[in-house]
Order: sequence, then structure tokens, then C-alpha cells
Amino acid sequence: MSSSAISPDARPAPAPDAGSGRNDLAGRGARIELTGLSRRYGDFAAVDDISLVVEPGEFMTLLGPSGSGKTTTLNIIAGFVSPTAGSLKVDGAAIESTPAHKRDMGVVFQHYALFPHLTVAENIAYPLKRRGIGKARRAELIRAALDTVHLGEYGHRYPRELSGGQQQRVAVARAIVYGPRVLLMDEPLGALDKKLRDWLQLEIKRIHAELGTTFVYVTHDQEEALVLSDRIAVFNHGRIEQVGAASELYERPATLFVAKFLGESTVLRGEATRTGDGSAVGVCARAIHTPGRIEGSRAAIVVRPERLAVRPRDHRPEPGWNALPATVTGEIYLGSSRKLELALPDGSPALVREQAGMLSDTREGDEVTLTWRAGDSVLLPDDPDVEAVFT
Amino acid sequence: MVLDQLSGDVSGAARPAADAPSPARTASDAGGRRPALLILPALIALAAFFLYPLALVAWNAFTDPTPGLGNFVWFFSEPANLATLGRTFTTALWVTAVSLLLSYPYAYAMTVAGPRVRGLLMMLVLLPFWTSLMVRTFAWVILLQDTGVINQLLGAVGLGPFSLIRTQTGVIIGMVQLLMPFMVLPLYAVMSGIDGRLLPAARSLGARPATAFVTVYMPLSLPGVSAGCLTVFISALGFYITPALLGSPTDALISQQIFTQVNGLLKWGRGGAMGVVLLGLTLVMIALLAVSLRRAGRRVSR
Amino acid sequence: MRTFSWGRALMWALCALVGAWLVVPVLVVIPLSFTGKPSLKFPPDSWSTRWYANFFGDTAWMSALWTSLQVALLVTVVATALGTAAALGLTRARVRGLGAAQGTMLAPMIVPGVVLAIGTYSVFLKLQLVGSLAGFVMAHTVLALPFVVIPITASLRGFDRRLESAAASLGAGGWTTFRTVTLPLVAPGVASGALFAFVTSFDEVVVSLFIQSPYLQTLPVKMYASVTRETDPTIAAAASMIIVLTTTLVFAATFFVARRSRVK
Ligand SMILES: Nc1ncnc2c1ncn2[C@@H]1O[C@H](COP(=O)(O)OP(=O)(O)OP(=O)(O)O)[C@@H](O)[C@H]1O
Ligand SMILES: [Mg+2]
Repeated sequence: MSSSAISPDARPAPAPDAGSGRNDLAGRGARIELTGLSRRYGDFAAVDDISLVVEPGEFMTLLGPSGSGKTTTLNIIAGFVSPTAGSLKVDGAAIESTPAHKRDMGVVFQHYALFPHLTVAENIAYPLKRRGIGKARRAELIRAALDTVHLGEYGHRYPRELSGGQQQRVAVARAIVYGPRVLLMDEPLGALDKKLRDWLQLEIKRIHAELGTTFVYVTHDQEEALVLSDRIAVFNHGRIEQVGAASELYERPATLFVAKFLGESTVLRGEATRTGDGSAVGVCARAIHTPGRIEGSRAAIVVRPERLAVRPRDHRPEPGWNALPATVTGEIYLGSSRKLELALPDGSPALVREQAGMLSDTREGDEVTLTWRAGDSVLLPDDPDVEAVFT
Repeated sequence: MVLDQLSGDVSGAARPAADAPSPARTASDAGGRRPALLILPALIALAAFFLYPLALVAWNAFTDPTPGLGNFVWFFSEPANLATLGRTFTTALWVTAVSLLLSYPYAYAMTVAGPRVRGLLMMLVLLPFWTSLMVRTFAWVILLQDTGVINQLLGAVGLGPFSLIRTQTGVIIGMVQLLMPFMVLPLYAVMSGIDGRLLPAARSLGARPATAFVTVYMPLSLPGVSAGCLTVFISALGFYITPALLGSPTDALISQQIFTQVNGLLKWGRGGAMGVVLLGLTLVMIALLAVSLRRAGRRVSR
Repeated sequence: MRTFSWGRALMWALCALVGAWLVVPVLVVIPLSFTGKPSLKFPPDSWSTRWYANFFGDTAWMSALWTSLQVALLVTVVATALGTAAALGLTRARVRGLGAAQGTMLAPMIVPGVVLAIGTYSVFLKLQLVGSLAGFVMAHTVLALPFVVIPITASLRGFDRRLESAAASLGAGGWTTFRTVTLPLVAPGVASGALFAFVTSFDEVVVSLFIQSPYLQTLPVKMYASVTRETDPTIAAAASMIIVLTTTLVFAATFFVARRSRVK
């Protein structure tokens, strides 16, 4: 995501009013409110009783594995799919019965859906004509939209004469040109290669900042979600597991699924019992302490790899720290950091990340002690289904 | 009657074989002259039994009974001939228009139907496509009788009886059914290639469903429309069997007149001149539509 | 989107009507052929198989059927052979005038039947081919050629020429390579070409009307004469048999081709 990530087709345009951050198409974003929304196909619930509020001007990402109901949710908001239960409000007004063409939302489709029989300019003019906007004003708006996506010179071309990244930007221009209150994007970068994707993520972020429109963005790429979003809603089996800012989801996952879907972690399973200041979980015949408390006794403790430290086998943990014996099974050197793969006495895996400059001198095969602060152990109810998703 | 099974695209589309794309050429056909010899036998057959007969038609038109333009002068100066020509044209236009009107929603339905229904709809098109033209025309002779099934059905709901056989209406009804597969197949081929996400896209941009259909779907389906219309129109221009059996002898079309001139009156020159006019018209139509098709294709092809 | 709409209901209703209108007229012929009365009144009020007996007992119908089958089979052989060779040439030759050759090959599809018919008639009068088996075969062959060339050309274009190089490197000569590698792989194209050739010839009426003689008629010509002159239900029996024959043939071929392409 540095300047080296700029793709060859990214003509660095003379950003017209760089710095000021103002854009001719800027407007106010709408507040979207989903309450108890479901969509069933026969017995199968593609979207199952979800509730979500997207604040005006917010960048909300719907993140989840394939088939988890992200597209269906987006299509319900756009008006292409009608919900079988629940309500949908935009700026306080219920819009379930408003047809798609009257919702005034911009939609960017995964494969762009540019009209092949129209030029770039005609594609962008399309929503303006539907709104009866006069010719002169149309020309102005088209220019502004093309400038926003840095495609000023491409108005007369047909979509097939553009590269994938350029087509994607035309799709964005077409969706923002009429100043919609909401912009919905369904994996808009899914068909592009990695470099182009990295660069266009920054472009999308910039456009969001310039316009102030509410963005709802669908992806199954967690890194993309982290780069772009104000908040992320994690989908699984048609339900929302957790909504929150990236740091919140990472540091305080609400479910084992969220913990495993976002970032790497070590999962320790066992029976939980309550203690005075939290819980203790029996793992490999040792008590692991955590400040958390849960209902039921089947528990999983999640620890992020950078929270774990490797010490010699005879190391004695300080008060308030947990410790487990482990064997180093592999090491991966990553430049700025190093990852150690370990095996616990019961055979389950653990993962440690050490920053460069703070590397221990452990090697593969070493017998060591893993330690971490009790406060870094996130206690969650165990969920046996989760393994199936990730293996 | 091969003419009635016209259009390369159509037979290609109807043919059930799977064609892998991307011809992989190697450098092995050095020179490539020898393979050309393989074309010769077919070309000789075509020269003897296709090109030579057509040349003879033209030759007769200009030389029989006396050399000159006499036959063409006769053709264009007889009001009856011009009326025949006009009738042939209007019949072909009607057949094309009605076919298009019925085929467009039918082909569209094929693209939105599930696989089973689509298979059924396709079968319903292919069955008549493969059935002998003579058999189908005979069926229409039965159906269109003054006391035939159609008039019985209409009678049952208190309409008619209409005279259908030996009228232009009867001819059009029969020809539409006979030629509809040639409209449906190219339409379906083009429509099934239209990206299904474009219509929701248009709606998200503020187009009402009908507007979205007219401004996005219809322009993209135009190549299929012109291919289908061309095929049906020029087939209809040259139709003989169906108008001969379903139409009225006094309202004959140009094919029937040619038949009468040559077979009945032995006027080879006059029949030839009419043949030249008919063939010329056909070629002009093809040229016109080919140009417009190419223009449409340039805009739409990705 | 999933809500009920009048437009959609109308579309499906129209489809059902159009679908019925496409096939019902063809199917009407079959019950008619079992009528008990010597009239073409539909629906029949009594039933019999006498018109089939009549068909098979009548020498005129039988010889027309025999002629049609003979001609169609010969046309299938001749047109498929000529068409396969031509398709090979068209896809592999690198000479000038290939476009013109291809145009000529496809032209019989667009020339109005009557125009070609009177031309063929005058040629046949000169060559004394009127009413001859050879005449029918040649006239139908040129009409069938486009329908043979199109599918075979398509198959050949999708054919990986490196397979032939591979066969050659394994010791196969030119003809052996064609017979053991090329032909089996383009067989679906050749099969549909052959099917088209058979059906084209078996259905042809207009040219046949001119080049027939009282002694040599094809089945469609006999049917044409029968429609114009008599109201004898034997023609319905003939038509029913043609329907059954072509339908069976097409389904068998579709099945064959589908299986072949799955193997591929
Ligand atoms: N029209 C439909 N009929 C039946 N099932 C459907 C329909 N549309 C979606 N589904 C099902 O609903 C579930 C959710 O689909 P959806 O497209 O919302 O997933 P997604 O999260 O967008 O997945 P992806 O990342 O693969 O795009 C899937 O299991 C899908 O099969
Ligand atoms: Mg999706």
C-alpha cells in the first residue's frame, strides 16, 4: 500500500483540489437501520434475523465467508431482494416497499455491470437522464465524476476498451454521479489482481472521505475490511456475529468465529470454573486464568500471537501471568517479525509472533514455556462448528 | 426445401454438438496449398448444379425469346406483376413482424426460465424446426379449412366462421409458425449472452423496470433481432410451398408466378426475369442487414 | 423482484400459447391418420389403421418412399464426403479466394428455392437428368452442402491441431492420422452434418417438383400432389410416419452427439 503498489494503469492525475478534500459531488450520507431482517428461500435462511445500524457517512463493511449472506443483505438494502421479515429504514423512513429505482442508492457490482452498448460518458449519464437532469448540468456532473475517479480522458471510450481497474472506476463514477445518500459495493475489487486492489482500496477510501456518503461494502477479504472500514459487521450463516471497529473485533472478539476469521490466534479449550476475579480454564492439566466470565463450562481461550512470549523451560511465571509448556515445531522469518509454531502437550497448535529486534534465541525442536498476561486471555464459549469452517 | 431452413447461424445454434473455442494452430500447414484441393470436389458440384443453373436463369431472362431487356420491361410494366411483388413484400413483412412479436418474449422467457422449462421451450422450437415443411404445411391445410379445427374452436366461443384457407391471413398464420424457429434461435443466442446483472444495475441507477428494459436490454438484443428478421424475411420472400397450398391462386406471390410462368406457360424468359428480380431483392436485403448488423456488432461486442 | 407481476404472468401465458402453437399443428396429423372415414375431417369420429395399410399397399406411395430413402441416403453419403473434405480445406488451406469459396459453399441457403428450381430444371433438360435418381441426388447434394459444411467447420475450428502432430510423431501417416485421430474427434460435427444432409434431402419439395417425372417421384412431391388433388387420408399416414422418423432420428443423433462430446 506504499507508492510502489500503484499499478501501471494508474495515471497519476493532477488531483484537482488535492488537500482541500472538497468534491463537487459531496453530499450528506444517510443513516441505515436494519431491524430483525430475514430472507428465507424455502427452509433455508440466507439472512437470519439481523439488526444493524449504519451511521451517516460511515464506512461499514460486511465481512464473512462465502455464502454467509452478505450479498443478500446488500441486495435487500438496494431493493433487488425483498426481505421475508424485519424492517429497513433509511433516515428514519421505512423503505421496504420502495422499488429499487426509487431508493436513490448507488450500487457498484462485483463485475461492474457497465452497459456495453454505451460509452463511459453515456454510462455515467444514464442515472442523470433517468432523473431528467438537463444536458449542461449533466456534462458538469459527468466531468466531476470522471475527475473524482481520475478518468478524465476516457469519456468517449466503450467499456470493453478499458482495463479491469478502469472499468471498476467507471462503475464507481456511475454510482456516485447523482449524489446518492448511500453507496453499496459488492466485492468491487474481487476480480482484480492484488496490486491493483491495494491501490484501488486507497482510492475508495479517498472517495469516501471526499463525498461523505454512507458506504456499505461487502468483502470476504479481512485485510481489505481492516484497511477500509470504520466498522465491520462479521457475517456467518446468515447471522451477524459481531459489529465493531477493527481494533475492537481483534482485541475483544465476541465469538470464536470472529476470533478465528479476523487475524491469527491460539485457541485453548477446556472446562471453565469461576474464580474471585474471573475464570480459570483447565488446559493440559494447568489452570489458565482470565478476567472473563461466560455462561456454561465449555470454554475456549483466545490469545493473539503478539501477546504470547517464549521463555526457557525453567522460567517461572510472575503473578498475573499464565504459562504452558510447549515444543517449537517450526519458525517462519517474515522480515519485520518472526512467527513461531508450537505444539502444546495435548498436541494442539499455538502461534507466537516476535517483533524483529526482540527475538528470543529459540530454535525448532526447543522445549520452552509459553507465557502471557492473564488479561490478554479472551474467554469465549466454545463452538465446535467453528473448526469445520476453517479446515 | 433448403431455403426454408436458412441461415448458417441458426443451423449452428440448433446443432447439438459442443464446439471447443480457441483453434490451436501450429506451424504444420506449411504452404497450405494442398488442403485447398480438398475444396475442389464440392466447388465443382456447386458450379455444375448451383452456379450454372442460376447463370442459366439469368441467361434466359435476357435472351428468351429474343435478346434484350424485354422480359424486365414486361415485368415492370404489368401492374399485376408489381402487385404480386408488393404482395410478396407485405406478406414477408407481416410474417417477420408477427414472428418477432411472438418470438421476442418467448426467447426472453427461455433466458429467465429454469433449466427444465428452458429445455422444454427449446424442444418446442426444435420439434417443428426438424419436421418436414411439407408435413407442417399439410397440417395447416387441415387446420385452416372452413370447417377445420380453428373455425370449430372459434365457433365454440361464438366467433367466425372465418375463411382462412386461400387467404393472405391463412398464408401468414402458416408461415409464421413455419419460420418462427429461425427467429427464436438467434434471439435466444444473443439474449442468453446478455449479462443478467445489467438490469438490476439500471434499476439501481434510477430506471423503472420498463425503462431499464427498453434502454439496456433491447439495444443489446438488437443483433439477434436483425439476424432473426433477416432470416425470416428473406425466407418468406422466396417461400413457395406454403403460399401455394394455403393461399389463394388469385393472390399469388412471386414464387408462385415464377412456377406458373415456367411450368405452366413455358415462358422461360419471363420466369427467369422474375427469378432475377427475386434473387436481386434477396441479396439487397442481406447486404443492407449485414451492414447494420456489423455496425451493431461493433458497438456491442466486448 | 420476486413479487407477482402482471408483465411476467402475461409473458408466461404467451409462452404457453406460442409453445402450443408451435407443436400442436404438427401433432394434429397423427390422430388424423387413424381416421375411419375417407375424409380429412378433424377430429375423426371413427378410427382405423386402413390408411397405413393403404400406404403400404399402394405402389405409387411405396415407390415414392423408396425413392426418397434412396436419394436421401445417397445425398447423405455424397454431401457428407464432399462437405467434410471442403471443411478440411476451408479450415486448413492458406490460399487466396478462400472467402469466396466459403461464400459459394453457403450460398445455396439464401437463394430462393424456386429460382434455383427453374435453373436446375433447364440444366437437367439439357443433360437429360429430369426424373433420374442421379439428378435428384446432385440437386439435393448442393442444397445440403451448406448444412454439412457449417457444423464440420465449427468442429474443426475447435480441434487441437497439435494432436495430429502428436500422431505423426508416433508414426502415423497422413491418412492414418485423419482416420484414427482427426475424424473420431470431429465426429459429432460430421454426424450432425450427415443428419442435416439426410433431413434436407428427405424434406426437399420445390426443386424436386420440377425435376420429377411421373415415373420417379420423392415422397414430399407425392404428398404435394396428393394435397392439391385428393382428400385421401393416406397422406396423413405418410406425414405421421415422417414425423416419427425424423423425430426419432434427431433424438438419436442428439443423444449420440451429446455422448460423444461428453467423452471429449
Ligand atoms: N435466489 C436464491 N435462492 C436460493 N438460495 C439463495 C438465493 N440467493 C442466495 N441464496 C443462498 O443464500 C446464501 C447466502 O448467499 P449470498 O449470496 O448472500 O452469500 P455471500 O455472503 O454474498 O457469499 P459470496 O461471498 O460467495 O458472494 C447462499 O447459501 C446462497 O446459496
Ligand atoms: Mg456475494
